[in-house]
Amino acid sequence: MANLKEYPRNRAGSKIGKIVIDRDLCIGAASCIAVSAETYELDGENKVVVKGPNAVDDDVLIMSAESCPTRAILLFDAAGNQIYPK
Amino acid sequence: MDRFKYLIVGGGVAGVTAAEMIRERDLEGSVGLVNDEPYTLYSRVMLSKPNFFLEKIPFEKVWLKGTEWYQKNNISFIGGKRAVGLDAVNKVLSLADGAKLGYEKLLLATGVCARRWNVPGADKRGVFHLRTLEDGKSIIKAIKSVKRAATVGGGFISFEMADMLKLAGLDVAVVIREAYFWEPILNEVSGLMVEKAMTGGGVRIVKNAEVREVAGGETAEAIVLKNGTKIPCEMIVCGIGVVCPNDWLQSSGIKTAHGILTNEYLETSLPDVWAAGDAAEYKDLILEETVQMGNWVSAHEQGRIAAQNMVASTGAAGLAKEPFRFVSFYTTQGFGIAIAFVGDTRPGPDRIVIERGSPKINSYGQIIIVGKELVGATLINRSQELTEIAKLIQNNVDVSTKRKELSDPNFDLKLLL
Repeated sequence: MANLKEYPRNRAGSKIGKIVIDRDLCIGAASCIAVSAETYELDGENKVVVKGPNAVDDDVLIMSAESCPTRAILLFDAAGNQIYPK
Repeated sequence: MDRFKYLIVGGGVAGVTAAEMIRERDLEGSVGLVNDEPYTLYSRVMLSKPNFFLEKIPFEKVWLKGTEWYQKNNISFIGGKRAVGLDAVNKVLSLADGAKLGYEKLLLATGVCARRWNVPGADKRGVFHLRTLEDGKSIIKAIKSVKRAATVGGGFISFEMADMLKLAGLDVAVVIREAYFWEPILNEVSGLMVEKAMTGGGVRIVKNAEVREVAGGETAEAIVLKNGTKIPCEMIVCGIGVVCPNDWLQSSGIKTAHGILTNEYLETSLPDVWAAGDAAEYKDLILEETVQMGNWVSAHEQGRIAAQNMVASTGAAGLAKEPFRFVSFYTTQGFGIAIAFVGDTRPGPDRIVIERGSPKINSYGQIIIVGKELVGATLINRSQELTEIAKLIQNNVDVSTKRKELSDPNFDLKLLL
């Protein structure tokens, strides 16, 4: 079983309804933090957690997910369809 | 001769991020991307991760962008071709196969190479370096057929490879020239914490080692030290630093030092030529000196800024050039320990180190200060403080009267921001 941690998002006007971190894949490269320190931080296990799921707009959020070298950030729309990675 | 409005040399994260950002800002301009490896963007970071090597993560996960992405974004991918010459006057790049490519704007995102281990016998089968996907594949294959392995070097490649080799069930020795692991980037207290984790994980560390040769026939059988000690191993992974292969650029007159020199806009000394990623040695506005910081995060961010500045230089409406102003960081984990490096962690006589936490509580950081400000930190089992420390560095916060707070492991660093 994948070790997934889900973070609901309800930013006005956003197409993204949920951010999911795959903690098995996350290696703490922290590139997502470089893109958006408002959204993410590391925890004591060197894994990324979402502290501000509504902090930034969709473009920045997608860029943060794309920057991940292990594709550990998954984005879903409000209906639960996976938007990234496609 | 093909001519591109934007030509990028290097298909790693800096080059590909730049291509992506250029395309976002200029929908029409032609973009060419030359890569010495035949592959589309893959995760170089994954190449040293145990879960990848032990195939707990499917191999396919290594691919970050497939050929369809390049096609969809109208980026000409020129894979498996090495750039061998730059004529900056006529704006022509030469490739090893004789082809020539013209450009209006050029980005050099060529990365760095693994420093080759050059002791006698280092060319034997079983001796590996790690930079490319091919290197990674070779190591994955090799671990299945050996029992004893060694890593050479006291940094993160050696650390992560030792973890992987141990998890693969091999006997592992780590051979370092230094007196303790990760010297001198980590102080001795930190280095010994890392060593304790490694030896606790069953790895043998051989310190102050001067290697005489790799013994064996065609295949490596042992590392032999100058004092006669023999370390039997059928497989050796070297992680002894990087070199910048910039010889091919010398005739262009571009200014280089260790890397390709740039200003804060990632502009090189040549007109219409930028550099980004591990290869760039850039003017860091926060540290106020010229530095080279090779890691995924920096490369990604520099690709973004270089792209912005390349497109802005064409006079595109509404785009202004932007300086690269960023506190770099990277982390690693293995043997149950997490290590984070933030900002400038190089040792130096002008640096004051404040200790935060202790080995006793298995959580320890060194906060590095120059003058009144933080310039860097290394954190063991304190990765959660990475963001705050990066902000303290980025904002040039005066911490001259906050030493007591910084040395209190329970003090919330957010309160200094």
